[in-house]
Amino acid sequence: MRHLSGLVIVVAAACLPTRTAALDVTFTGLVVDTCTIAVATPGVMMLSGDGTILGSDQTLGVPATVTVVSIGSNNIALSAPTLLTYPAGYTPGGGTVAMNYTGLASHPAFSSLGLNFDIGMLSLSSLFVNLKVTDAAGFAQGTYTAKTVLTCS
Amino acid sequence: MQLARLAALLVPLLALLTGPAQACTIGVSTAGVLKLSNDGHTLSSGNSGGIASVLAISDLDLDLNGTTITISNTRLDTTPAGFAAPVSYAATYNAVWLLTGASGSLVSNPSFTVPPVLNLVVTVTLHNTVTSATGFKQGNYTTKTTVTCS
Amino acid sequence: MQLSAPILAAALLLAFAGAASAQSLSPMHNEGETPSLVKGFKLYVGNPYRVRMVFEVIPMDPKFEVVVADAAVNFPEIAMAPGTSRQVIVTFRIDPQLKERTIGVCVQPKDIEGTVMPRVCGTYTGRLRRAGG
Repeated sequence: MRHLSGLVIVVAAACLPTRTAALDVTFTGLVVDTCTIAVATPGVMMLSGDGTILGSDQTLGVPATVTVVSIGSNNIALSAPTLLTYPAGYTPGGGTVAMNYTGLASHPAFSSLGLNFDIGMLSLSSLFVNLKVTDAAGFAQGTYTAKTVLTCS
Repeated sequence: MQLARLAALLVPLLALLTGPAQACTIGVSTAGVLKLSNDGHTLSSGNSGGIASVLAISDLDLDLNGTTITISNTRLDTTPAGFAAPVSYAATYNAVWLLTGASGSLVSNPSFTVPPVLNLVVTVTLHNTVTSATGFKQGNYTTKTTVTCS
Repeated sequence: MQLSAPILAAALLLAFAGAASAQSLSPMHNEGETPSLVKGFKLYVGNPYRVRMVFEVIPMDPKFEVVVADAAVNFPEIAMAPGTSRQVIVTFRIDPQLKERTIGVCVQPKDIEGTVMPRVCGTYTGRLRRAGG
C-alpha cells in the first residue's frame, strides 16, 4: 500500500499543470541637475586701429572661453555687459558696451542687452564670448575692464 | 476497492497541490538603487554608488523538469514630469544555488533552470540600466523588471 | 601692442581641468519642509579649475539679482584646492504668514580676470510644516 501511494504521489505531481509566479522588481534612482562652468581663457580687449572700439574681437584681442558641463536641464544667462572700470581721463556714457557669443550656442550679432539660452545635457563644451566698448570719442590711455555675468541655473 | 482508496488519496492530494500556493516565492532582500553616470547618459545600478537588487527565490515547484526562472520586460515605471526622451534598457543577472549558478542578460540567456530539490533557495543579483542619448531630467526615476518562475 | 604678448600668456595660464568629478554647485534645486521658522539646505561647491580658487557663496533672490537678508551661508567665502568639493549650509528664515520661501544661492570666484564673471546658481524652497494636523 505504501508503495502504491508513493507511486500515486509521483504520478500526481507529474500530471499537474505548471503554474507560474511573476514579480516586478523595482529599482529607484534620483537625478540631480548639475552645471559646472569655468573660464578657461579670460577675455582680453584691444583697441581698434581708429581708436573708437575697445574689444576682444579686435586684432590681438582674445574672446573669453567658458567651458560648460551640464546634466539635466539648465539655462545660461549673460547679463547686459557693463564697463566696470576706466581711467581718470575717460568720460563714460558716450559709449556702448555689447557682446556676442559662439560655440555651444550662437548669437553672432552684438547685443547690449542680456541674453540667455537653455541647455540640456552637455559634455565639456565651450562658449566663446566677445565684449566690446564702442565710443566715437575714443579712449584715454589706461586700463579698462568690461564684464558680463554668466549665470548657469 | 483499490481504486476507491486511490481516489480518496488523490483528491486531497490534488487539492493540496492545486491550492493558492505559488510556483515559487520571490523575496527582495536588497532593493536596487540606480545612479547617474558621470557623463549623464546612463542611469544604472552598476554605476558608481548604485546598488544591485538581490532576490531570494524559494518554495519552488518540485517539478521533474525543474523550474525555469526568467527576467524580462525591464522598463521605466516612474519618471519626472515632462521626461520623454527615447531610452533603451538593459538588465543582467547572476544566479547562485547549491554549488552552481548561471548568468545572463535580457538579450542573451534571459532564463535559467534550477533542479527540483527540496528547500532550494536561489539567490539572484539583478542589475538594471536605462540609457538615454539626450540625458535625464532632474527628478525621481524607477525601473521595473519582471522575474518569472515557470 | 608689445604689451599684449605677456598679457595673452598670463591669460592662457588659467586652464580648465576635466570636470568628470567636479561639480560647481550641487544640488541646483531642492525643496523641503521645516518644523521651525528656519530652513537649511546642504550644498556642495566644487572647484573645477586647475588652480586653488576662492569662491563666494551668496544667498540671493530667486532671480539672482539682489542679495537677500534673512539668509546666511555658514562659509560665505571658501578657498578650495583644485578638483575638490566642499559642503556649505545655507539657512533662511520663512515668514510664518507666507509659509513658503524660495531663495537663490550663487557661487562665483572671488577675483577673476577677464570679461566674463562665471557663476552657478540654484533655487531652494522651504515650506513650514503644519504643526499637528
